[in-house]
Amino acid sequence: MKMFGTYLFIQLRRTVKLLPSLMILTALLCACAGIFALQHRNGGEDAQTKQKYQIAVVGDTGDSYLGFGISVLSVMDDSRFMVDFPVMTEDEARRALMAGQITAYARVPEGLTESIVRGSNDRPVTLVGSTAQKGIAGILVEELADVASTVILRSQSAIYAMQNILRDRAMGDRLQEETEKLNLRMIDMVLNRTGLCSLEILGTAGGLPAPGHYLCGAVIFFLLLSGICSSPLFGKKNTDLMRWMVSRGVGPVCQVAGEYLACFMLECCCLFGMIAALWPALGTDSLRAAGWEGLGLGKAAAFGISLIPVAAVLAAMQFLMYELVTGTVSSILLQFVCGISMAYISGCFYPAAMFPDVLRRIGEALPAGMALRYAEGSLKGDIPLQTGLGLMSCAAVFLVLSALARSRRIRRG
Amino acid sequence: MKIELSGIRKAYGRKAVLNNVSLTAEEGSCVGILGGNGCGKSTLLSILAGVQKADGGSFVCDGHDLLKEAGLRNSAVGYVPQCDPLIEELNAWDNLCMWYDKGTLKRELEHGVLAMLEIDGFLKVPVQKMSGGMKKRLSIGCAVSSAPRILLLDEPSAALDLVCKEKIYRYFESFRAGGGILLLATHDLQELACCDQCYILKQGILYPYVYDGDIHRLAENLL
Repeated sequence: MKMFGTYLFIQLRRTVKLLPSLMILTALLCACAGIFALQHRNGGEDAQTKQKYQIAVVGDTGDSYLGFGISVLSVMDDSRFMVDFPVMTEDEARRALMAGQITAYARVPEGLTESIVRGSNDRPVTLVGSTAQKGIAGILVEELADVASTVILRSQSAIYAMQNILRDRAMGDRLQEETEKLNLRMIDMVLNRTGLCSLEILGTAGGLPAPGHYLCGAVIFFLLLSGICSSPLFGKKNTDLMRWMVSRGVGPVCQVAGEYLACFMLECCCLFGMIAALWPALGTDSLRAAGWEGLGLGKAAAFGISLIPVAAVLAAMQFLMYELVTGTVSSILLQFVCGISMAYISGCFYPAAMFPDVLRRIGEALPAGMALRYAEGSLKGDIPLQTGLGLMSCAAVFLVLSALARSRRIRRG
Repeated sequence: MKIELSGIRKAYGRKAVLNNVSLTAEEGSCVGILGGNGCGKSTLLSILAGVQKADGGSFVCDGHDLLKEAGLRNSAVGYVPQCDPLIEELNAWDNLCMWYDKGTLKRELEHGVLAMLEIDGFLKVPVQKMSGGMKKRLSIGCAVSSAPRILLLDEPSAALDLVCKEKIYRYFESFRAGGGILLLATHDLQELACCDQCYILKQGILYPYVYDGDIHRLAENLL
């Protein structure tokens, strides 16, 4: 026990000696977290100008009827927040599409309006897209084209029916006038769809508002990456020292325990640094906007303290990674790759509900997934004890594996 | 005091590295173990130090099998491996503090083993800035903190200059004079000259050898 205490003291002394380099890495990571939080907070304000789909309109746009329709869509309809309809020549639109500046363009043929008014379908609008736009934008464009086709085909049936009625009643002179009225009425019905449905979001995950989820996700993500900060401490391995320690009665378990505690303390420093960097933007402003109250320094500190078990399990996982790999560069790479992939699968970037069921289950079983659920529970003030026990079990397993890896390293020399 | 190694065996998978290794050493003696690279010298010393487990055999000192009595072994045996087992980021004082309590450390630095090894001259130097000789002396200083009666040294003076070697040999003489037993794994002829008994470890078997200063005969025997 005395030997363990001395060894722990020496590890802490090493940590203090390496503090400048450790602090630089930690400060860099906290700065990244702070920038992320500020970006996230400002993201909502910028979204209206930045995240719009551009669908150019080319061809016969001089027609007053069509021009009126485009201006209505651009100025009055709710879709103006999502889609822009710039008018271009076909060459400009083609160049813009190839450069990725627009999502697609619609080629309006000569005499489209007359064709629609006549109730004919002989001049279709051609939608030109690119293969690179096969994401959600492509799906949206296809959906828009589909909706437009359906509306036009249904309108056509109505127009034919109305024209037949007018002819039957010998009112052929009003055919043009009534067709135009009906067309305008249909366009009006399509455009006046505001309030057709309302959307109510209860929360993204576990009943937390989106900023709360992203606060927890960001804390876990940056904590996963904080393993990199420990690289000056654990990146280099002195196997001779480890072997010699055994000859002096400091076995692999004792060595791992002493070094892990130093790693854990460093992780706790990172945790509180992260919360200090993330809380002002994500924790206070965004959560208050989402209707949360009592988000002062006390709440931030309580949140940090409640996450100490998370720091314990992530420190154990990072320590195991350092035990399994030799060399500073490969250790850092492993920390980085594992951190990012685990954060992604566990739902730190997007709520896990967005993933397929199998992936979601894997994410939940990973330590990062458990840590995220625990953090979300802590933020709500409802700490999930079962998840906490799961985390502690994970930490114990990681430490046992670390001791086994250390023992193997000592044996093999 | 007398040590007796008998029937020590060790194999890595199917490859037998030590095959019934046995030797005896008396109080105040120095035993040199010679052998080519990878012949098992370091493995033998690490087994005696308790770093590795032997597949069989015993290491008896005053009626106690030190391979089985770890507590006794930790206090009776000091081990200096080939590479220096020091914490690079810390200075000599911090490294020594891990093994000595402060009172003993000050005493030893004033007129004890550490004074003899002249460690007090570089107490505040970080290990990463030390010369090879400083590191080796510090390693020995750390290894003898429990005042062991048996000291195991794996190529202690490899790559050291003559002045450093001289300081280390002076300490060895004093250690032997105090009744300690030295067990050296070595390639160094100067070290070999200090030994009372020599053995050559070849294909896992330990052969007694008398070194008479003829290097060619020694080289032939090592092959």
